[in-house]
Amino acid sequence: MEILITDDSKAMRMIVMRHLRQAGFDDAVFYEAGNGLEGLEMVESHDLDLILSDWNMPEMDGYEFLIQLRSRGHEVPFGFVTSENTPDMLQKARTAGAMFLIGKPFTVDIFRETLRAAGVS
Amino acid sequence: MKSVDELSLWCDVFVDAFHEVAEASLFVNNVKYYAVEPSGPKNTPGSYIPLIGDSGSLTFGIQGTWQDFSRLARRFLFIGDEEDVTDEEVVDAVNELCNMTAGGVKKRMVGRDPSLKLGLPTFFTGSVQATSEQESWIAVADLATERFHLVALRQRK
Repeated sequence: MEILITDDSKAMRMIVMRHLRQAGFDDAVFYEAGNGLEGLEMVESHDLDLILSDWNMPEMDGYEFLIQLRSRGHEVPFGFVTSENTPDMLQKARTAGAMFLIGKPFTVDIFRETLRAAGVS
Repeated sequence: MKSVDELSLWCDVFVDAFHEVAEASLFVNNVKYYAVEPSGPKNTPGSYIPLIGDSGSLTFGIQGTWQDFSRLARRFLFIGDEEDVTDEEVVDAVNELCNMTAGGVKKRMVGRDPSLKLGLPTFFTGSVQATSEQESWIAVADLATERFHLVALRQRK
Protein backbone atom coordinates (compact mmCIF):
# COMPACT_ATOMS: atom_id res chain seq x y z
CA MET A 1 0.00 0.00 0.00
CA GLU A 2 1.34 3.44 -0.93
CA ILE A 3 0.30 6.35 1.28
CA LEU A 4 1.01 10.06 0.83
CA ILE A 5 1.11 12.23 3.94
CA THR A 6 0.82 15.95 3.24
CA ASP A 7 1.52 18.36 6.07
CA ASP A 8 3.72 21.45 6.36
CA SER A 9 4.97 20.13 9.69
CA LYS A 10 7.65 17.47 9.31
CA ALA A 11 7.01 16.57 12.95
CA MET A 12 3.36 15.89 12.24
CA ARG A 13 4.20 13.80 9.17
CA MET A 14 6.43 11.64 11.39
CA ILE A 15 3.69 11.28 13.99
CA VAL A 16 1.03 10.39 11.43
CA MET A 17 3.35 7.73 9.95
CA ARG A 18 4.00 6.33 13.41
CA HIS A 19 0.28 6.17 14.18
CA LEU A 20 -0.45 4.49 10.84
CA ARG A 21 2.20 1.85 11.47
CA GLN A 22 0.75 1.18 14.92
CA ALA A 23 -2.75 1.08 13.44
CA GLY A 24 -1.76 -1.85 11.22
CA PHE A 25 -0.22 -0.16 8.19
CA ASP A 26 3.32 -1.19 9.07
CA ASP A 27 3.92 -2.62 5.59
CA ALA A 28 2.87 0.56 3.79
CA VAL A 29 5.25 2.67 1.73
CA PHE A 30 5.03 6.30 2.85
CA TYR A 31 5.61 9.41 0.79
CA GLU A 32 5.69 12.94 2.15
CA ALA A 33 4.70 16.36 0.83
CA GLY A 34 4.88 19.74 2.55
CA ASN A 35 1.82 21.32 0.90
CA GLY A 36 -0.85 20.72 -1.71
CA LEU A 37 1.35 21.70 -4.64
CA GLU A 38 3.99 19.15 -3.66
CA GLY A 39 1.18 16.67 -3.09
CA LEU A 40 -0.11 17.11 -6.64
CA GLU A 41 3.38 16.41 -7.99
CA MET A 42 3.55 13.23 -5.91
CA VAL A 43 0.17 12.09 -7.22
CA GLU A 44 1.39 12.40 -10.80
CA SER A 45 4.49 10.33 -10.16
CA HIS A 46 3.22 7.58 -7.83
CA ASP A 47 0.39 5.06 -7.83
CA LEU A 48 -1.06 6.03 -4.48
CA ASP A 49 -3.65 4.07 -2.49
CA LEU A 50 -4.41 6.73 0.11
CA ILE A 51 -3.74 10.42 0.77
CA LEU A 52 -3.81 11.94 4.25
CA SER A 53 -3.58 15.71 4.29
CA ASP A 54 -3.48 18.59 6.71
CA TRP A 55 -5.96 21.40 6.00
CA ASN A 56 -4.04 24.62 6.75
CA MET A 57 -0.79 24.72 4.79
CA PRO A 58 1.12 27.45 2.93
CA GLU A 59 1.28 27.58 -0.90
CA MET A 60 -1.74 25.30 -1.37
CA ASP A 61 -3.97 24.16 1.48
CA GLY A 62 -5.44 20.70 1.82
CA TYR A 63 -8.89 21.69 0.64
CA GLU A 64 -7.58 23.18 -2.61
CA PHE A 65 -5.34 20.12 -2.98
CA LEU A 66 -8.42 17.89 -2.87
CA ILE A 67 -10.36 20.10 -5.29
CA GLN A 68 -7.45 20.10 -7.76
CA LEU A 69 -7.01 16.36 -7.37
CA ARG A 70 -10.63 15.58 -8.18
CA SER A 71 -10.76 18.10 -11.04
CA ARG A 72 -7.83 16.25 -12.64
CA GLY A 73 -9.72 12.99 -12.42
CA HIS A 74 -7.80 11.37 -9.57
CA GLU A 75 -10.12 9.28 -7.40
CA VAL A 76 -7.53 8.12 -4.84
CA PRO A 77 -9.10 7.89 -1.34
CA PHE A 78 -8.43 11.12 0.55
CA GLY A 79 -8.76 12.02 4.22
CA PHE A 80 -7.91 15.07 6.29
CA VAL A 81 -5.80 15.00 9.46
CA THR A 82 -6.26 18.48 10.83
CA SER A 83 -6.82 20.79 13.77
CA GLU A 84 -9.78 22.14 11.80
CA ASN A 85 -12.08 19.67 13.46
CA THR A 86 -15.50 21.31 13.30
CA PRO A 87 -18.80 20.00 11.86
CA ASP A 88 -18.70 22.66 9.12
CA MET A 89 -15.21 21.62 8.05
CA LEU A 90 -16.22 17.96 8.02
CA GLN A 91 -19.21 18.77 5.82
CA LYS A 92 -17.04 20.88 3.51
CA ALA A 93 -14.47 18.08 3.32
CA ARG A 94 -17.07 15.44 2.49
CA THR A 95 -18.72 17.63 -0.13
CA ALA A 96 -15.34 18.05 -1.83
CA GLY A 97 -14.80 14.30 -1.89
CA ALA A 98 -12.91 13.47 1.30
CA MET A 99 -13.71 10.11 2.89
CA PHE A 100 -13.02 11.18 6.47
CA LEU A 101 -11.55 13.82 8.74
CA ILE A 102 -9.34 12.93 11.71
CA GLY A 103 -9.06 15.77 14.21
CA LYS A 104 -5.83 16.63 16.01
CA PRO A 105 -4.95 15.54 18.62
CA PHE A 106 -5.59 11.91 17.71
CA THR A 107 -4.80 8.43 18.95
CA VAL A 108 -3.83 5.17 17.24
CA ASP A 109 -7.33 3.84 17.98
CA ILE A 110 -8.91 6.81 16.18
CA PHE A 111 -6.74 6.10 13.11
CA ARG A 112 -7.58 2.40 13.19
CA GLU A 113 -11.33 2.92 13.62
CA THR A 114 -11.60 5.76 11.10
CA LEU A 115 -9.69 3.91 8.38
CA ARG A 116 -11.62 0.72 9.01
CA ALA A 117 -14.93 2.59 8.80
CA ALA A 118 -13.77 4.18 5.54
CA GLY A 119 -12.95 0.77 4.11
CA VAL A 120 -9.23 1.46 3.84
CA SER A 121 -7.13 -1.58 4.61
CA MET B 1 -22.71 31.87 31.75
CA LYS B 2 -19.74 33.82 30.44
CA SER B 3 -20.13 35.99 27.35
CA VAL B 4 -18.12 35.43 24.19
CA ASP B 5 -16.89 39.00 24.77
CA GLU B 6 -15.08 37.99 27.96
CA LEU B 7 -11.43 37.06 27.61
CA SER B 8 -11.78 34.74 30.60
CA LEU B 9 -14.14 32.49 28.63
CA TRP B 10 -11.57 32.08 25.86
CA CYS B 11 -8.87 31.40 28.45
CA ASP B 12 -10.95 28.70 30.15
CA VAL B 13 -11.40 27.07 26.74
CA PHE B 14 -7.70 27.50 25.94
CA VAL B 15 -6.74 25.65 29.13
CA ASP B 16 -9.26 22.91 28.36
CA ALA B 17 -7.90 22.51 24.83
CA PHE B 18 -4.28 22.46 26.04
CA HIS B 19 -5.24 19.80 28.59
CA GLU B 20 -6.66 17.61 25.83
CA VAL B 21 -3.47 18.01 23.76
CA ALA B 22 -1.25 17.29 26.78
CA GLU B 23 -3.13 14.07 27.48
CA ALA B 24 -3.36 12.83 23.90
CA SER B 25 -0.03 13.94 22.47
CA LEU B 26 2.30 14.38 25.45
CA PHE B 27 0.82 11.60 27.59
CA VAL B 28 0.55 13.85 30.66
CA ASN B 29 -2.73 13.85 32.56
CA ASN B 30 -1.90 15.72 35.74
CA VAL B 31 -1.17 19.21 34.44
CA LYS B 32 -1.63 21.94 37.03
CA TYR B 33 -2.61 25.46 36.00
CA TYR B 34 -2.32 28.74 37.84
CA ALA B 35 -2.70 32.32 36.71
CA VAL B 36 0.23 34.75 36.82
CA GLU B 37 0.63 38.47 36.27
CA PRO B 38 -0.23 39.33 32.66
CA SER B 39 3.14 41.02 32.18
CA GLY B 40 4.61 37.52 31.79
CA PRO B 41 8.17 36.40 31.17
CA LYS B 42 10.57 38.47 29.05
CA ASN B 43 12.56 37.40 26.01
CA THR B 44 11.19 33.88 26.04
CA PRO B 45 10.82 31.45 23.12
CA GLY B 46 7.23 30.75 22.16
CA SER B 47 4.80 29.79 19.45
CA TYR B 48 1.80 32.00 18.64
CA ILE B 49 -1.24 31.55 16.44
CA PRO B 50 -4.15 33.85 15.54
CA LEU B 51 -7.83 32.95 15.78
CA ILE B 52 -10.01 35.56 14.14
CA GLY B 53 -13.76 35.89 13.89
CA ASP B 54 -16.69 38.26 14.23
CA SER B 55 -16.47 37.93 18.01
CA GLY B 56 -12.94 39.30 18.05
CA SER B 57 -9.32 38.87 17.14
CA LEU B 58 -7.28 36.67 19.46
CA THR B 59 -3.76 35.34 19.58
CA PHE B 60 -2.88 32.25 21.58
CA GLY B 61 0.66 31.32 22.52
CA ILE B 62 2.74 28.77 24.37
CA GLN B 63 5.95 30.12 25.93
CA GLY B 64 8.69 28.16 27.65
CA THR B 65 12.40 27.77 28.06
CA TRP B 66 14.33 26.16 25.24
CA GLN B 67 15.22 23.30 27.61
CA ASP B 68 11.56 22.61 28.39
CA PHE B 69 10.59 22.89 24.73
CA SER B 70 13.33 20.39 23.85
CA ARG B 71 11.93 17.91 26.37
CA LEU B 72 8.45 18.53 25.01
CA ALA B 73 9.65 17.87 21.45
CA ARG B 74 11.31 14.60 22.50
CA ARG B 75 8.09 13.42 24.10
CA PHE B 76 5.89 14.56 21.22
CA LEU B 77 8.16 13.09 18.52
CA PHE B 78 9.14 9.94 20.44
CA ILE B 79 12.84 10.90 20.34
CA GLY B 80 14.90 9.06 22.94
CA ASP B 81 17.49 10.64 25.24
CA GLU B 82 20.27 8.99 23.24
CA GLU B 83 19.20 10.77 20.04
CA ASP B 84 19.74 14.40 19.15
CA VAL B 85 16.79 16.72 18.75
CA THR B 86 17.41 19.55 16.30
CA ASP B 87 16.33 23.16 16.71
CA GLU B 88 14.03 22.73 13.72
CA GLU B 89 12.36 19.72 15.34
CA VAL B 90 11.82 21.69 18.55
CA VAL B 91 10.25 24.64 16.73
CA ASP B 92 8.15 22.36 14.53
CA ALA B 93 6.87 20.39 17.54
CA VAL B 94 5.98 23.47 19.59
CA ASN B 95 4.28 25.08 16.59
CA GLU B 96 2.25 21.94 16.03
CA LEU B 97 1.20 21.72 19.69
CA CYS B 98 0.17 25.39 19.55
CA ASN B 99 -1.76 24.72 16.35
CA MET B 100 -3.57 21.72 17.84
CA THR B 101 -4.44 23.66 20.99
CA ALA B 102 -5.84 26.61 19.02
CA GLY B 103 -7.74 24.15 16.85
CA GLY B 104 -9.25 22.81 20.06
CA VAL B 105 -10.28 26.34 21.03
CA LYS B 106 -11.93 26.81 17.66
CA LYS B 107 -13.73 23.47 17.93
CA ARG B 108 -15.13 24.46 21.34
CA MET B 109 -16.09 28.02 20.34
CA VAL B 110 -17.26 27.72 16.74
CA GLY B 111 -20.82 27.12 17.93
CA ARG B 112 -20.80 30.62 19.40
CA ASP B 113 -18.93 32.20 16.51
CA PRO B 114 -19.16 30.24 13.23
CA SER B 115 -16.92 32.81 11.52
CA LEU B 116 -13.79 31.75 13.45
CA LYS B 117 -10.72 31.22 11.28
CA LEU B 118 -7.45 29.69 12.40
CA GLY B 119 -4.12 31.03 11.15
CA LEU B 120 -0.71 29.38 10.96
CA PRO B 121 1.65 29.27 13.98
CA THR B 122 4.76 31.43 14.25
CA PHE B 123 7.70 30.77 16.59
CA PHE B 124 9.89 33.54 17.96
CA THR B 125 11.70 34.69 21.07
CA GLY B 126 10.30 37.80 22.72
CA SER B 127 7.85 39.25 25.21
CA VAL B 128 4.10 39.75 25.13
CA GLN B 129 3.29 43.43 25.29
CA ALA B 130 -0.41 44.32 25.20
CA THR B 131 -1.35 47.78 23.99
CA SER B 132 -4.17 49.85 25.49
CA GLU B 133 -6.37 48.37 22.75
CA GLN B 134 -5.61 44.83 23.87
CA GLU B 135 -6.08 42.71 26.96
CA SER B 136 -3.82 39.81 27.84
CA TRP B 137 -3.90 36.76 30.06
CA ILE B 138 -1.11 34.41 31.07
CA ALA B 139 -1.22 31.18 33.05
CA VAL B 140 1.38 28.61 33.95
CA ALA B 141 0.83 25.03 32.80
CA ASP B 142 2.92 22.84 35.09
CA LEU B 143 3.55 19.38 33.62
CA ALA B 144 5.78 18.41 36.58
CA THR B 145 8.85 17.94 34.38
CA GLU B 146 8.25 21.05 32.26
CA ARG B 147 6.53 24.38 32.79
CA PHE B 148 4.99 26.51 30.07
CA HIS B 149 3.19 29.84 29.95
CA LEU B 150 -0.13 29.83 28.14
CA VAL B 151 -0.70 33.27 26.66
CA ALA B 152 -3.88 34.83 25.27
CA LEU B 153 -4.12 38.28 23.75
CA ARG B 154 -7.40 39.83 22.65
CA GLN B 155 -8.22 42.98 20.78
CA ARG B 156 -10.66 45.15 22.76
CA LYS B 157 -13.78 46.07 20.80
